[in-house]
Amino acid sequence: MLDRYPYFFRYVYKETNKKYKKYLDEYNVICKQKYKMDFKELEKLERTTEEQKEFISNFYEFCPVLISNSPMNLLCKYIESINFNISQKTKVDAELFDYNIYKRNDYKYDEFYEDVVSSLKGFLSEQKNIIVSNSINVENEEVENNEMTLNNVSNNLFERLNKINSNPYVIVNCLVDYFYKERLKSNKDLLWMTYGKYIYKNIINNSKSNTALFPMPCPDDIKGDLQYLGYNYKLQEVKL
Amino acid sequence: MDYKYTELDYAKDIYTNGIQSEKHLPTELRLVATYMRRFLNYKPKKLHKEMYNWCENNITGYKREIYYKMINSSINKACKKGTTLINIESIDFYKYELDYINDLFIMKDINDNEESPFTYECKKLIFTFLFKMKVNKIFTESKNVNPEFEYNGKYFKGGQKKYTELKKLAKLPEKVRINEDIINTLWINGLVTPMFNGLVKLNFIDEISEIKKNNKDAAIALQIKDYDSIGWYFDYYNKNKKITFCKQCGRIFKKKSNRQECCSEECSKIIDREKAKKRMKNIRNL
Repeated sequence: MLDRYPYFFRYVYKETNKKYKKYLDEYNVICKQKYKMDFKELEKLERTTEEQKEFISNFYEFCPVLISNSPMNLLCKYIESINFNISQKTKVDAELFDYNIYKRNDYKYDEFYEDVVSSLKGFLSEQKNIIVSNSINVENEEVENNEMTLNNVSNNLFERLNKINSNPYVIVNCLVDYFYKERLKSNKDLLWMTYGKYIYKNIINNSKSNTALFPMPCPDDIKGDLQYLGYNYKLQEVKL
Repeated sequence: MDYKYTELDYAKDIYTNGIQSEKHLPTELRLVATYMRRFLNYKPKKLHKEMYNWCENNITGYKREIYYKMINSSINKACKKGTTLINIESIDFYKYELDYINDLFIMKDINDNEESPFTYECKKLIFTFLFKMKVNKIFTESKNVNPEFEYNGKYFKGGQKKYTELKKLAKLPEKVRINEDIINTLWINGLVTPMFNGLVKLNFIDEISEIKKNNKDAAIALQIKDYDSIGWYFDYYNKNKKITFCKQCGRIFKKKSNRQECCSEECSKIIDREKAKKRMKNIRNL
């Protein structure tokens, strides 16, 4: 009977991943204190003493996950070793992007900006407290990492901001300025979840086009416009 | 405001002025509940009622059905036996402790009689470890139900983050690696033993306890009041000219120039104002 999860389960359960990372971190500290090197470097040594061999075997014996050569574990290790360069591919050049395409210039919004931002900040603060109080680990007073449940939250935000101005395009203009100018590095999920359809209409209105380029998968023998994770994609016009 | 090791003042501040930081809401509620239970002497029933009233008046967007779990948890902790809040005014170091640390000969290698190039940094880290054990002793003994309980802790546990914080507290140089250079050297000299899961046994604590038995009337050589700069106190005791105390607020700091007297611009301005007042008073008296 297995007394612990296999290694690849660290990507299934957050708690397992947390336990493994903590174990690895603490083991690395002791390895550095005793042998002046990381655990990975110790394993790669060509010649090891008896004590070092025991130290390495103890790592696997007391590890909270089972690091065996099962097919799933090997697959997991293989995928971990590939560098997908995701951060380079998703990097957006901030200077080239003009966020004004998300706004509707027909509506003035300066007088409402302060009220909208103030109401938004109050709303976010309340939501944070709700998450903290619902996800508290009672014994250790630790707050577990939790994602906001955006569906209910976005409806509440819409109703609250609607009281400031019933025209959603005015609210969108204020929020776009807040999220893309004042708080450039903030998470935009809430904005898009709540006012996505209005931003979409603004984009169509401002770009004066009703088509967009969309990557469609194409056969391997055809050289596409884009390549991602070993597959070819061709950009095709899609009517919006 | 910084409330390191001054839980009672922190709790009073929260109770009087409301929540200080929403990021630490569970901790702050626990402190308020403990304050009400132990210092305002509320019985459990009254504590329950007063906590809910206090939260209603002090938490933005309060709703009972959302916060009841957190509030009940803080009340349960406050009602546990032995819970209390303490302020640590200062941590005292005795002459025999500092003499022990300063007299240590730290070898470079087990097979070598040459002194280690990290000798001073090793001694600073031992000083910082000793400080941590003294703080733990005060907290553990004051919160223990048994009044005769004596804390004899000699272990430090943590991951990379905790050791990085320890390095910052000991004011060790940036280039020095706390694990590979300092703790490895201390291990070679038998002063500490790295065990498992980031746990390190502090062997020197036993040696200091032995010396303590023969020094029951020892004098206090150093009093630590600034808990963010422990390493500097060791430097000050060892007559490092760059470390001194601010003439205005009394905080320990590292001088950037020889003539510097105050830790910050604000303190300098206050001192300058006082000097100007005296000067004008003298001129008027003439």
